[in-house]
Amino acid sequence: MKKSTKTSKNHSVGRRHFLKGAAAGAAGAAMLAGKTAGASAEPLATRRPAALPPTEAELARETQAVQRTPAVESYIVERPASDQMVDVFRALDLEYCASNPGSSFEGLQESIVNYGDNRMPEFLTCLHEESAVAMAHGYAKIEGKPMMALLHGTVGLQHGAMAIYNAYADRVPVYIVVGLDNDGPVAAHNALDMAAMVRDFVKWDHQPESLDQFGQSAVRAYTLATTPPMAPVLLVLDARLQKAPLDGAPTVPTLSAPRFPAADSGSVKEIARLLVAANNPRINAGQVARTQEGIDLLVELAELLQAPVNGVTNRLNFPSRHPLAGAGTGQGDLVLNLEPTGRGAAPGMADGTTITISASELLVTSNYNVRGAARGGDIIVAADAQATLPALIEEVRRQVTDDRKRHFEERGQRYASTHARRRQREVADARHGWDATPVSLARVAAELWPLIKDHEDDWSFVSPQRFLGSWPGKLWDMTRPHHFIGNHGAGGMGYGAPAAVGAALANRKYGRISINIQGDGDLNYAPGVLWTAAHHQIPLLTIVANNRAYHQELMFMQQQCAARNRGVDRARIGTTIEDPNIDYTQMAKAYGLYAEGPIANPNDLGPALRRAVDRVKAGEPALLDVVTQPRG
Amino acid sequence: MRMTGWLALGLGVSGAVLFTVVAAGATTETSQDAAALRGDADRGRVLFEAYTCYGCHGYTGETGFGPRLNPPRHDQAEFVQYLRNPRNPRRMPPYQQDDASDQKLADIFAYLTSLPSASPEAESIPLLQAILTGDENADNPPH
Ligand code: HEC
Ligand SMILES: Cc1ncc(C[n+]2csc(CCOP(=O)(O)OP(=O)(O)O)c2C)c(N)n1
Ligand SMILES: [Mg+2]
Repeated sequence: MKKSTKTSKNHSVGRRHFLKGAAAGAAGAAMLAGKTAGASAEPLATRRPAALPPTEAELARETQAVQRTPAVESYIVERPASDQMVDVFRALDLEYCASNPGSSFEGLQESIVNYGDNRMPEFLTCLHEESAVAMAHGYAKIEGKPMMALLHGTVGLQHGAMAIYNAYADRVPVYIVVGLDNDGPVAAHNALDMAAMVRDFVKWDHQPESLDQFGQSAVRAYTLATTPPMAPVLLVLDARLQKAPLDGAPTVPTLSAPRFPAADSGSVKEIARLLVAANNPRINAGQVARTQEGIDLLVELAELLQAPVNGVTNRLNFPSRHPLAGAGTGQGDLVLNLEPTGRGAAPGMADGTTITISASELLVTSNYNVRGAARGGDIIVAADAQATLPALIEEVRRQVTDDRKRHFEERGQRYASTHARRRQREVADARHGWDATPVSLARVAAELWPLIKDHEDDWSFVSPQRFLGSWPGKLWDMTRPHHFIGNHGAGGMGYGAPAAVGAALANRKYGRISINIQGDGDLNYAPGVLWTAAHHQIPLLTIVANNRAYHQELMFMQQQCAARNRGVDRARIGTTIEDPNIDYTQMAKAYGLYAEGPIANPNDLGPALRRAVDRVKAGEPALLDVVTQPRG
Repeated sequence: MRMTGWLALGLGVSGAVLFTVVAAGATTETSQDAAALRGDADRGRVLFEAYTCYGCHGYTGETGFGPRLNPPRHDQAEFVQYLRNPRNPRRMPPYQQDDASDQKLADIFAYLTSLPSASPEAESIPLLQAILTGDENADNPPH
């Protein structure tokens, strides 16, 4: 008794000391999301559950007359080291911990729910580790800061691996913690080097040997994850360390807000010179805008140069209806790649100058070529594009002459009319198959738009759109980062549903209505995440774009059959999801969601969407099973 | 044996259409004869699914990865010719005579020709008109 009181006193001194760094941590996290530190920087000491009144159990223990036997006395650890871990995670502003339970982290889990009162981080029950990691992936794309995914030793990490790879390729930070219990009940969950299996696709991993080391590693992991190029990081936490009694004052690490590496001034001057001199430049934006500020900066640069910016590609970089959105017109003579993700050259570019600014150059792995083949280029700058934009804008402004300005204005008008014509055509093209059964994907997007566009707290489209004919990007007015958060990263299917739930969780506190147009194949890898959405009351509209197939593969298979010329009628074997058809309404209802469908008649779609949107506005997840044309 | 539900629905035809296994084999027909063949739209509907034309051109031939086939841009002979030797075989799979005889392609052509349009004019679709004109000027709430 006495001993534990003493320990806890020492510990609280150490903890307070540590938390001095905490405000800085919170501020760093908020910075990523483009917010001022605000609420998250409030004194954390006041929010510590340790300051709460004692629970009944604690009181009873204090007053109990019966002495503990030595066996019980040594069994009970009232102030375990994992409490300190919770304090550190809280100091890092890790709001949630997405997890599927496992004994390798039972110490930490107990601290989260009891010591931490299940707040900051709050434990989110996931039915698959892939869902836990992908939820954190989606959350970070909205919130601009990492969420924790807590995985069971060996097997849980194996389950989570593909989702880690997606986040890595997408340059999204995820804070992964894995338990390690080499004394545990299942020998096969042992590991000498737990992180080895995912080391090729995390930015950093560490297995601290002491609590002091833990504090330092925890902060370092956070800093590395959130410094461009952002990526997942991994901490392996030994169960022995989690469960050890807290003793003495843990060393105090400080978190300094991450700095974003910008291009050097010489490169900036040179790039500005080439941009100003170019007659028909194009800006190819991959994943340049992390925040609204990034979008605004890109608009500023584009307007200054009157240069077209490719439209909605891989997350929103540039307003979809801006007159400079698109590929411009004529033959390009310069392309400025900003954090490019694709493989090909910018449209309309035969040759000419190629400039690339990409933080990905700072994070290459030998084994996996996550960003495609290295692009040729006249100038390649290893730097963060958004962080480089302010200096580049200033330099362009300095170098532009009145003569060039006149030329820019002329071409700007040409681009604007090209944009207007293209937009007219794209919207008019949505008529094709408008009345078809099953429903066209253009119609799904068109029917949704009026139901979400005026929502007072805004809307957020949280799924990839390539398989949807990109109709949301063509029809919706996308201006903000949360209006489109991009693709899978590494094309690993099974990303869609959990990333949408994670993104919707982040959107919840802003009151935004989150929309997920969901492939049926993607949903079936781990549909249990629907239950997580229901359990944690995460408002999200999921529309299953149900083409009853792994349609992408069906098309590839048909092409392959043609290439072999020995039968063209078997491409559907192994690529369709029929016979029996999956009843997604029953599935969603089984997981506790409001659901309707299957809807195949386009005339039934609008009213069903309205009912589902109302549910989501009221704070629930809802699902519609819409049987669709195979592709948009 | 299984049902081809959506093709039937797309046409407003009630009842299930039985999927017949398409026999492969050499054929003596040549493309020159193709213009003269009389296609059977019912058989064509089954083949449109079995050969997964719908997969890239949509169930009504109006949506998807490939160009619109409804209404057909070619006559029957050109159509057969195109399927044998599409411009870009990496995108549009070539359908060779061994499997897809001229008769079968004529059946598909007959089916495509029989398809009604499910694409009303954009001007008659208020939702699209609103996107083109109306909501540009609508009040955007503070985000
Ligand atoms: C794997 C996808 C795929 C499949 C399956 C497919 N097509 Fe195509 N089809 C295409 C693409 C893509 C094009 C355009 C090719 C190009 O760019 O040159 C095309 C072009 C065509 C054209 C020319 C249209 C025009 O206006 O130029 C016709 C006709 C056609 N397909 C008919 C069919 C038929 C009939 C079938 C089934 C027997 C079929 N296609 C199956 C993808 C496909
Ligand atoms: C983990 C994983 N397995 C398989 C694939 C191959 N694959 C690519 S697209 C796709 C189809 C996904 O089906 P769905 O989400 O329904 O989209 P659809 O193509 O039908 O529109 C598959 C299986 C993959 N990319 N990732
Ligand atoms: Mg599918």
